[in-house]
Amino acid sequence: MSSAGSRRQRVRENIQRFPPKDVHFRPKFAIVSFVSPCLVLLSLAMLMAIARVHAQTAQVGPIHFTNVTTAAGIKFVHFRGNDGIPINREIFGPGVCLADYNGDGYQDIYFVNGRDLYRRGIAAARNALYRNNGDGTFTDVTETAGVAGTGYGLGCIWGDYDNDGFPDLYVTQYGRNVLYHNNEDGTFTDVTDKAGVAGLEFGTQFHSGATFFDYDRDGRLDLYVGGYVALENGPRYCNISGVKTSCPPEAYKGTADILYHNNGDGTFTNVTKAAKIYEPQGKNLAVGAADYDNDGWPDLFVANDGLNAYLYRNQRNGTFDEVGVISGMALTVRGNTMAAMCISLGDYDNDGWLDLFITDFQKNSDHLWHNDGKGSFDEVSDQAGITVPTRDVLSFGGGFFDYDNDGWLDLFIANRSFTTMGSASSWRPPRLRALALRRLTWGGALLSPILTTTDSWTWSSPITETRRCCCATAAATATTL
Amino acid sequence: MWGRGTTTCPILIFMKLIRHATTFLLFGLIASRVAVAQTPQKSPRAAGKASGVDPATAVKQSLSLAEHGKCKEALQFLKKTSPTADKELKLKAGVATVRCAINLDQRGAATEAIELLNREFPHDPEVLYITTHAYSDLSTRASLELARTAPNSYQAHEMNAEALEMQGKWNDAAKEYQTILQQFPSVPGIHFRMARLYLSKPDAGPDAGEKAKKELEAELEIDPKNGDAEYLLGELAREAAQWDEAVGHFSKATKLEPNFPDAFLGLGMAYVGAGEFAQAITPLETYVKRQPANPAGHYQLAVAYSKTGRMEEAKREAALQKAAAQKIEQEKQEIADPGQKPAAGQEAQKPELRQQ
Repeated sequence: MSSAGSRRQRVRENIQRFPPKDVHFRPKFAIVSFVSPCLVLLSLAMLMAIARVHAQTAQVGPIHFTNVTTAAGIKFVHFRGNDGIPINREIFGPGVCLADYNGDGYQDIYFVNGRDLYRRGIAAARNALYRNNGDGTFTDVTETAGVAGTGYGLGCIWGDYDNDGFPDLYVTQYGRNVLYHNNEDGTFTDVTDKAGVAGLEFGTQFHSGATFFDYDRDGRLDLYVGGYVALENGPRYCNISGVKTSCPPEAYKGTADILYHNNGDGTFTNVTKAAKIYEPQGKNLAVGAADYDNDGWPDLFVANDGLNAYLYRNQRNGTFDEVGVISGMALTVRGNTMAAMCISLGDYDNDGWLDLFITDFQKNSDHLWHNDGKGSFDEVSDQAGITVPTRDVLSFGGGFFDYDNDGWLDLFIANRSFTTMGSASSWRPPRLRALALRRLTWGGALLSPILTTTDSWTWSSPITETRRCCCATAAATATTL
Repeated sequence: MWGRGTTTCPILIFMKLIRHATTFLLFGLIASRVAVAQTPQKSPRAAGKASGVDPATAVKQSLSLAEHGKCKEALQFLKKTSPTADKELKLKAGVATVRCAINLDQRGAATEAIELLNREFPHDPEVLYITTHAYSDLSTRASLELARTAPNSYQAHEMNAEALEMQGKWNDAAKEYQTILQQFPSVPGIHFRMARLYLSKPDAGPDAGEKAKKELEAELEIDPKNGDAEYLLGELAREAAQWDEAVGHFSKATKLEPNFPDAFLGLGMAYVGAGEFAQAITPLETYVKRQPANPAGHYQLAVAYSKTGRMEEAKREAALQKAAAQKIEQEKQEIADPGQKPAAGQEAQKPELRQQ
């Protein structure tokens, strides 16, 4: 048996060993994480801890998380590459994403890093792939695997676009994105040009969220790539209340996202306009794909910064209809736009319909929408107790997950604080200020249980088929645990 | 109407006026002083009689007098001079009239000239400039007169409190308002201003909303027809997701202030929040007719239509919402602080130059 064949066999065996409940292993949906740099190390720590938690689910009592980053051998430090006051690009990243890239049954971790774009000769910064050794430790295999990245990295997603049983890696960058094909032997090959997925067709440079999803149900993962603002054509800094700082999104023009159709031969075709989702002025932060209306076809959620959020309803014919406004999720219940850095989908009340969670800026609470099963969402943040606790923090990654395996979806939200405009330094140092971990309640009662949890944290599970949560920055949540 | 839940409107304008008025007064004084040193010119009326000059020439001579600080003579003659067909000259005459009238404290003449100028030269920058200064000066004089003639009146305290608010001296302003209430407990508007102060004050504390609510309720006991107070109470209730209460206050606000569109938006949003989508439609339709440029109204109406099965109307409003939002977005970009453009040598931001 060839090496590749052997690994495929191991993958199959692993599927049998670690069957995610009610899900197929082959990832048809993948996620991009897109969180503050300050979260990365914590993410790993929490990841390790949650693994322990899952190993001890039979135990009764409170759940504690332990920071095991150092013990696990994780040494990644994000380099944001700022020259003086950071500009928007430098306060955005990095993403982090997980997958079992070598089919050994253990989740591996990929970190995205910044770069020196100011010609200062700082060449050390690169992305990092940490292989899970299966004993609670990780090894940096970036060089061997050949996945260091090719530019200033912002986000990443895993997805098996060629259905060979091994997840491939897509990295969003400032500039040309990169698609790494998994060679099934622990190495990857940059196939961006061959695949045609650099993401530059509409002039977008500042790429953000992305997701693999099979929108036409042809059995092959397609790719949606988000774009933020046209940073290169706008101001470097803005003066906000007398403080020189990075600029708000309204200082820039938006950019277009791209939908790539998987041709099945290792290439993709930009079908954004044909699919009727071309929006040249979007300011995307997070994306997520899920079948919110239970018609069996994945729909697309696109969260923007300071603009309407979009909900592209799959028309089942290769096109989408943008229904964000009429579905009631484009703006908050108070009629405001969001600085939506995270989207998470999950059926928190187990009524069979995916609900929606979106994080927001400081002084704007986070938002929870209940899916009414009729094509609309009702924001229930106030009723669910989300509004007040999230009002005074700046929420980044977060989302639904059942942290105590009680069958009820909880919410994890990673925050930091933004000082009052006009102070000497508008941004506090990028450290985590607060973690908000709370159980959703409704009138004091716990919400109904979720459908599944998994033992192996296969966040690239096929959501459209399982109705289990996950989307863009829900991955950030997952990896933060 | 003033206020509408913000402190900026009346006080900001008031303070700006004071600032501008000071400049204007200085200008007038300097002009007068300078004029003393100038050689007096012959009255244009006299000159006109003597030589039979045309109105344009007479106006020019009057302007010369005004420029040299002979405002009294200039103003007398300008009032009686026949209108000239020369638009530029007419503009200059009007501006000189305003300046001299302000200088001589002839308030009626000043306001007449301002009205004439704005009627004859709408949107003219010079006219708008002189109008701002003139009203500022008039405002200052009125406030000084108030302070001089009725220093213990509640109006004088209120004026002072507003000025303190504008300076960010929130506690001092609150004391002024409280002084008024101690002396004149039934004066309408003061509790409302106290509520507004609580809502505007930075770091007012977690109980600011509750304090504001009590003040607004006290205001309504004094003045049950205060639509602004009802509106703010509605906003506070909506923020707290107390939908029924919000609906009640907004409903009253729409009745008390039928020309205040935001009350209709608040009412519609409260109904939407309460899940009473059918009831939300009428106030939201009212709002979008009056404020079609605000995407918030179209959004709420689209949601209300959608929830009541009126999908075509929902799609129409969704399209209007997007168009309005895009327009605002463009305007934001136009007025955004340009800050610093990427400096020379930093073009390396363009990533294709730094590919590894």
